[in-house]
Amino acid sequence: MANKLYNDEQYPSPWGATWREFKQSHIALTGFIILNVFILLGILGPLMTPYEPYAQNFQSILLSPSWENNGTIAHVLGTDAVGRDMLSRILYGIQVTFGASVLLVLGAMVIGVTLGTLAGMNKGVRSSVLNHILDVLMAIPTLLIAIIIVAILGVGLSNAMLAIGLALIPRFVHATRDVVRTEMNKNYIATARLDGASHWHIFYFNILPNLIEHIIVQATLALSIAILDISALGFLNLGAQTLLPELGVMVREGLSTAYIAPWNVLFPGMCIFLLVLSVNIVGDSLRSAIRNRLTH
Amino acid sequence: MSLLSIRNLCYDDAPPWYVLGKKDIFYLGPVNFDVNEGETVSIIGTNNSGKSLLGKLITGAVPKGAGEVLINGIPLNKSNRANSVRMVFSHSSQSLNPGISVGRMLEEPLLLNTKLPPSERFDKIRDTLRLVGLMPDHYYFYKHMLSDGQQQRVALARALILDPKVVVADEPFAALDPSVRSQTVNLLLKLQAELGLAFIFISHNLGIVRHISDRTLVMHNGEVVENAPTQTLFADPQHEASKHLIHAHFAMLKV
Repeated sequence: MANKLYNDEQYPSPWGATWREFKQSHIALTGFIILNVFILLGILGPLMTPYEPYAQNFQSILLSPSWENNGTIAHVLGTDAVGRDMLSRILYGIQVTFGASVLLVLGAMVIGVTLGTLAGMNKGVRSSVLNHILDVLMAIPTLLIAIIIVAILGVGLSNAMLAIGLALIPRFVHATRDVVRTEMNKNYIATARLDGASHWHIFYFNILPNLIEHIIVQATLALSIAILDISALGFLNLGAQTLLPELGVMVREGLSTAYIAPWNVLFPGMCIFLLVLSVNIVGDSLRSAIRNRLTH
Repeated sequence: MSLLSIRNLCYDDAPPWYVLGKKDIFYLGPVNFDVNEGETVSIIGTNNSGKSLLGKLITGAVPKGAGEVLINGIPLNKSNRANSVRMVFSHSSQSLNPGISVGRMLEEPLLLNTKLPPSERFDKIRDTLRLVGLMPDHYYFYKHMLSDGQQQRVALARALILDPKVVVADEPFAALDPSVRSQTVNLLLKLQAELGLAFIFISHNLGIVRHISDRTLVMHNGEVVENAPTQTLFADPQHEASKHLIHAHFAMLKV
């Protein structure tokens, strides 16, 4: 009969404990909310834009934001040198920059975690060859590797994504391998192996639950690098090309009229800043939440 | 015929050819002994005498060099091992997985070695938790919510859930405080009486060894140097190594 009674107590999972610890910090929550707003804008932005991002309107060139004396409410954040609406372009720009970063981080994560798991679960020469070759790559900044790869493949957003994705893989390989290796030496893996568990089973049932949070922390760090690098390559005219509403490209285009229309640089720049800041805050708080969650 | 027979069990960690200059190769065996149903056999010895290694060889945690482990006359292999011989490691921060709940931990051996449907697995896990003196509610608990004694009980439950015939316990009480240790010892004795388990018990604590075991093996430098009923051994140790251990134990009691 006792089995039939419902559980009225909550037993927080490790994830529940992490979330409880995470929301203790107001800064972390603020960052989390800002990040979620950006995610929402990235998904829904194109549905909300008042103008087409490419639509040029020579009647309204370099209009100020609406709160200035010569601004109009028709263009809330003003217009750029060819009369494109700033707000529409920023909403699209969030989708391009943030979306491209998320995609490339996901790709790098899948490849990196797979390689890292193979390196961690194998022993000896095979594992260390894979690991140390990638160590060499980690010594070079990702932006530099990305520029080299772009120089070989040619400019363009998709090539920039490919380049940054390749440059980010070693981070995931390294983090995954470290965790998997320490896990593999623990007694509970030995007991699982005595039960007759296969490698796949050991990974899926015993290692993955402990690995997943390390990967998520690593992914947030990689995401902030990816956002910065995508916009940096756009700014340097190596990534996304002029027509595409990408935040880095918008900063570069605004730069030519920066003295008479500073908002053309300010708004996309603020956007990149807030994106990177919120991603970093969330990643950092997540890391400390994971570290502290079991102490109380 | 005895329940578990160990015949000429050997081990050496002679290196593969490409490892140069590895010194101190450890040899173990050949070891021969028998364990009967419901019997407790203790293995004692100094550090580095190969006690834990012998335990791991019997359960298959370390691949053996030569010899055989027979259960009811049938050699142990990968497919029948988990259902008959189980190992409990000494309590440490690494003995339970921190990322999964106790229920999931206990479900793993059932998933791998039985064909029970989910509802029966659930019942079996709850029964086993009760058996080792935990509550069915502990199904939902995670490692960090349990005390050291409870963690050791979970480790024991994990060993017992497949209804094994032999349990090999490597220092199961080492890191527990005296009161929890006595509780766990009593639990083991109770389970042994109820389930007719044979225990192979590896320990430094000669007090507990003398209290619970029927027969005691003394190991020295990778060999079993003495195999005698516990009372006989403690009254009249024959080999030099056994004399050292037992005299040291009694000397400590007198102080």
